[in-house]
Amino acid sequence: MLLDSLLTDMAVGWRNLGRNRKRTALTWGAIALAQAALVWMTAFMNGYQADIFDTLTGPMLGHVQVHAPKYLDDNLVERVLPRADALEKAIAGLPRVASVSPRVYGPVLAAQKQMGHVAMVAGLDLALEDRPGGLLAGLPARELPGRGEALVGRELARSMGLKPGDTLALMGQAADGSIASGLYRVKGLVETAVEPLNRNGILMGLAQAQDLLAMPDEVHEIVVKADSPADIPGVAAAMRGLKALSGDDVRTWDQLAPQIASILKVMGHFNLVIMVLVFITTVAGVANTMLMATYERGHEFGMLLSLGCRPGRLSRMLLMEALVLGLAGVATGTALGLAFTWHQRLDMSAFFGGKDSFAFNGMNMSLVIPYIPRARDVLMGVGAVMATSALACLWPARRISRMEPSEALRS
Amino acid sequence: MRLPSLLPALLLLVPFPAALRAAQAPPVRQVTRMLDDLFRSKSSLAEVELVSRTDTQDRRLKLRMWTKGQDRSLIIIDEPERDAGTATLRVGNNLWNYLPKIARTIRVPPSMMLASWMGTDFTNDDLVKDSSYEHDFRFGPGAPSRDPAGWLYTGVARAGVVGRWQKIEWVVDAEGSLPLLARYFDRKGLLARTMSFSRVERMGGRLLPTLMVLKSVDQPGHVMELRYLSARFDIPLSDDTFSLSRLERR
Repeated sequence: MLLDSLLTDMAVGWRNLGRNRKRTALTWGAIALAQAALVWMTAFMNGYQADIFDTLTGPMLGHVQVHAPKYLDDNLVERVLPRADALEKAIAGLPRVASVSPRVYGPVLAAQKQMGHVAMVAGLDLALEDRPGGLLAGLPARELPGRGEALVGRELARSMGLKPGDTLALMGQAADGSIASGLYRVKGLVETAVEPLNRNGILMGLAQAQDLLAMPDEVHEIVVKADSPADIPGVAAAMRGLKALSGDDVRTWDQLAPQIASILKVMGHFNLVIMVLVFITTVAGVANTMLMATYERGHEFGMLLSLGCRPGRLSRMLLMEALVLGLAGVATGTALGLAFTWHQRLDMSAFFGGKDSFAFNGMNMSLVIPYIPRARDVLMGVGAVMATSALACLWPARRISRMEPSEALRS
Repeated sequence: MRLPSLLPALLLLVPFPAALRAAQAPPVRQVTRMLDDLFRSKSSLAEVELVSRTDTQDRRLKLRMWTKGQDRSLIIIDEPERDAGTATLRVGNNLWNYLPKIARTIRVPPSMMLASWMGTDFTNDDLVKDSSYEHDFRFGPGAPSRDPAGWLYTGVARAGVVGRWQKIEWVVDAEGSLPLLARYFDRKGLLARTMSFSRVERMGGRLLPTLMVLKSVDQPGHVMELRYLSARFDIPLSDDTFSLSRLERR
């Protein structure tokens, strides 16, 4: 019975929207535009956040890192994690751990002829770093450096005038305090997602860097990736509980890069700002439409009240009219928003001279952002529009409830 | 004068040796020349043991050091064996390191001047910029020093002099002939390190403090000792000693 009544009210509401088509179209369009903007903006922000998170945690930081105590304070080459093989195995054996990547770093002077250049040796597990999400992702296996070979960051190579096949002399301090030196053939020039490595990096196999820096079975850093971002706290807690890591410094990505983590958090609040704009647009549009409807249809309402229709029924009809208008607008807006974002990406390279990335805070941020529309954001818009449509009826409904039929008939 | 008002003055006098109370501070020029020449003279050759202690490791190096004038020096590491033959040549403001394992010479770029020299608490800049107290600093007259007992000379870097130190305080002995302590203040005016001088011995025909202990304020637990094993001064040294070709032929 109630359902029949609601459906009737809905049908009446839909028909009433056709009385002033221009006004209805304007309100419909405004709601649709606001919802489309919400879907587009949230999809862009989701994509941008995901891109930053992947860039940050993918090749360089990982999800969790282990260092020797104080290493992150002074980066001294002698602050090493001993028994690296055993540590790696212990971490890899934990649940929800996707990968474990050991790394070695050493500041060096690099020279092709005589002039020294400031550089940083990075010793990497090349097989791991060559996988998607690694520092060397996408580099063909034949281009990975072998024994006596190294890859050089493209900017460093440019400033040193290096090209593949050249010989590079390195000098630094080894972890045991002795003087590290070695000659390496430049296997290739690389551009990674990590800007400091492009600027100063000399990348080589882990064992080779351990030889150069006198670090047998020792590393400076172990980078761990969890199966998914949601698993990070659990993996970090399990690592902190490992006896083999007791006393070592275990930190999650947001502890390692708190500034970027804050930026990502703030970006999440942008969605709320867009949501408020949708609220305002909907309230203004729907309230205006409904209020005008009550003024224009005073005579009709008076007649209905005289015939015995209760004010509550009239208010419900008005509410249905507003909800139908909101629903039509939000459906159109959602369709529009999804059409612009579903399997689409925003290419901003044209604004940056054709470059597909830019350096920020040591990372190469992509200028081609994939849109990631999420059901949660779309439903948030739908809910906001429906709620504000209902709210926008409060004033007109109050006016109807106070209406005198005789006065309304004369209007 | 009542006794209480005399007390502070009396207390100030107590720690100073009687000789210092009576004597005049040695002239500034005599002190700065002594500081410039004591370990170098016109030319010198010294054998030195350098011990570096940090919270993570102890390291001992044995070095031979040649100097000529104030802008040429050559340091060769003799021990430990794995680093033997590694050499640093300084000519003016230029610094080169020779690495015998790979038979290569690498010039230290200006951006690395504040980096550690061979993993010690000395910086490359210490080797290059430690040129002349007489010319690079403006020293005020000596004032009595209580700890250690001697004369305190405060030198402020002259305008236009580029270097790590804004101010250096030297405490020298009563005669102004031997250094006892140096305090180095960085460009912000903060104390960065102290170097104490002790174990005075006759070496190369002159009295020298043969042990220097360097402590860095910003690196607690880091101590570096420089021990002179032998020294000869004003020996004939050809300019070729300080040439790159000679460095690589060693």
